[in-house]
Formats: sequence, C-alpha cells, structure tokens
Amino acid sequence: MSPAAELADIFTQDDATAHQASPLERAGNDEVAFLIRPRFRYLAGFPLPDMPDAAEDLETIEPVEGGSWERRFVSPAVWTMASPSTDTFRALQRWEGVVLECRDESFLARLTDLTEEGPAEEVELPLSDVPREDLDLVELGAVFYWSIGYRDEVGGGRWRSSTLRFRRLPLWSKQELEAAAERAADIARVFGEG
Amino acid sequence: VTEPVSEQHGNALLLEGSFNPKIFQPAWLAAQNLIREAEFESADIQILHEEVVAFTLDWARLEVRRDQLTVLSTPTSETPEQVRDLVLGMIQILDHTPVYSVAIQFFAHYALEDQAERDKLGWTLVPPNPFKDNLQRPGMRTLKVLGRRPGASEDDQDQVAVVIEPSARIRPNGVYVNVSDHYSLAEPSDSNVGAEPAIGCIEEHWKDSMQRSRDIATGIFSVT
Repeated sequence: MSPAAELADIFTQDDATAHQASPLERAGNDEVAFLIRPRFRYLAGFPLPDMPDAAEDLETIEPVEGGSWERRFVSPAVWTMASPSTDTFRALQRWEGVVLECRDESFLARLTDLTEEGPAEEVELPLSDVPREDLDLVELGAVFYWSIGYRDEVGGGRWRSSTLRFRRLPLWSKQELEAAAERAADIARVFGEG
Repeated sequence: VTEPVSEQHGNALLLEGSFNPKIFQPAWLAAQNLIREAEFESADIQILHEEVVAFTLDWARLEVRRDQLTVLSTPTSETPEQVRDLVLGMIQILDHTPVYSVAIQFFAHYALEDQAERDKLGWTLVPPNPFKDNLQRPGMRTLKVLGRRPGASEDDQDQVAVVIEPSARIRPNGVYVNVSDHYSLAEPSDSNVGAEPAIGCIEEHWKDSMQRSRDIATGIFSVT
C-alpha cells in the first residue's frame, strides 16, 4: 500500500449511509459534514522501500539505503460544506468579450453571446463600468465576461445588475493560441499569402 | 419541458490528483492575480488544515484535499466560466501537479407545479410496480444513472453520472439534477503525468460538456 492510497481512506461523510450519491453529486442540494479522524500519516523519502499491504505493518518496514520514513500526526478536524443564506444572482444575459481597442475613457470589444447562439457584436463600453481592480487587465486581446441580471438579496431586495469581470488566466490557452493562428491564417489568405 | 429555476443552478470542476492543500489559500490566489485583492480579503475560510483547505469567495467555493481539488460556483456566481478559469489558472501555475482525472459538473434545481407532477416524474423514472406489493406509496428518493458519452469509442470507458432527487432548496415540489461528466487522464501510478492533460481536457470539452449536461437535465422532464 502506498502512502497515497493510505491517505485516501481518511475522509468520512457523516451521512454516507443515508444517500447513495457522493457529496459532490449532491453539490448545492444539501449541507454535508466532513470529518478527518486523528491518525498518523506516513511520509516516505526516496527511494521508496517495498510497501506492506496492511497499514498496521507500516511500522515494521525498514527504509532502503538513501530512503527515509517520517511519521506525522494528523490532527482531527470537522468542517461542513455549508450553504448559508446568501444573495443570489440570476443572469438574464451573458456575453464573453474580447477587447479590440482601448481608448481614453472607453474600450471597443467584440461580444459573443453565452446565453444563446447568435452573431458576434461589437460594442463600446465605458472604462467607468470596469471594477477598479480589473482596470489593469484592460488591454488589447483581454477576455472578459459581461453579465446582466437580477441580484436578489437575502433581505428581499432585488436590483438589476450589470457586471464586467476580466479573465485572470496567467497564460494564453492552447485553444486560444490555435484560434489566433487560425485567424492569422485567414487574414494571410485574404492578402494572398496563404 | 420544465426550465431550470435559473437563480438556483451551478457548476463545478473536480480534479483528482496529488495536491498540496496548504498552497491553495485566498492569499495565494490573490498573489497569483487569479482573484481580486478585495475577494481575498472577504474570503470566508471554513478550514485550513494540512490535509484539507476549504474556503468560499463571493463567486466560488474551493475545497482542496491531498487527492482532490474542487471548485464550485456559488449562488452569486455571474457565469460558469469563472469556475473554469480559476481552475485553469491554478493548474497552469502549478503545471507539474499530477492530475489523473477531471469531472465537469452541472447542477440545477427545478420547480415543478405540484406534488402530483413530481410524483409523476418519480414514478416514470422509477416505476412503483416492483415495490407495490410490499411498500405503500413507494417513491424515488435518489436515482443515479451512469452512461457513456454519445459517440464514445469502445476504448473510452468514462462515464457520465446523473443524480436526480428532491430539491433541498425548492420545497416542497422541487427536483434537483446533477450531471457529472468524468474524464480519465492517467493512472495514479503514472509518475510522469502533470497538469497539462487536464488543461487540454477542460479547454477541449468544457463547452460541449456544459451544453450536454443542460440537455440531459432538461431532457429528464420531457418524459412526463
């Protein structure tokens, strides 16, 4: 048995016998309590010795030359996947946008409808609509999401909300690079270079 | 076909692999510019433990154990892509993290008109006949259905799991549906795997998976 396999056994769902579905298969439909039992965890240094099949035999094994063992106490803990009363956002319309041009007080973007299929649209949006912490992300090619909908408060209030959120990926994704290469090839063909 | 009650649906990404939970804290996400500074400051931390870290932002809930990383939307999430981008951002930075499988998940609560409509759905999905000799008013409590994706090759043994049960949010006549689209990427014994297959998997399948899950969920109601 490897240390990883040993670790796999430490989680217990309190109501596991009450439902056949796992906690995540019931995500958003119930509050679930989790438990970490107090136990020892065994960390193996490299190279790995031969591992016994039973956890109780772990103490008997000897590290191979150059290898090491560490036994560490894991403290008990309980936490819940709680679903406290909270505001809700109900989107009426969602778009994914790409910044095409940055201006002094606005930016030009191409929007793709995420709610239903439709042609891409170009819009000019004021920079004043961008959350302060996202302003640094507004640049040519930046991707953002624009959601319009209702925010319902726990207290019963409802207000119409328009939210811009810029994507914070650290790298260009493979899919985006392929899409960009495809667009570049299309442009090259238009100019007879393909 | 009953449409989902739109303010009560969500999505999640579940990655199985080998993770160091202590890394995944709100401060780290902010330092990596994956969330806003204000979101880090208002994060609600449920647990910080060497075996598990769990906390909630306004728009996402993270839970990281040594063998599993989960990001779920919250009722105030604006768009499902927030969950996808956060997961992609984390594993792009931690690109040597072994990820063995990905599950793209969609869940929704549907409001049915009355108890009769919900009974009709339950008895259509699970006919009472096999139970009626020994049980009074047998009814479906939880139904889990497994199947392979349409057009899957013989080699592709990954399953889509659909769970249907009464909604705990919409009472008394709500129905909860959860669709979990599972993709195996590597065996846990594979020491060479990193996060790249998971990144490719999410990028390639996200859109189709979300659409298929919505179709599965709404399709359930077309049987009545």
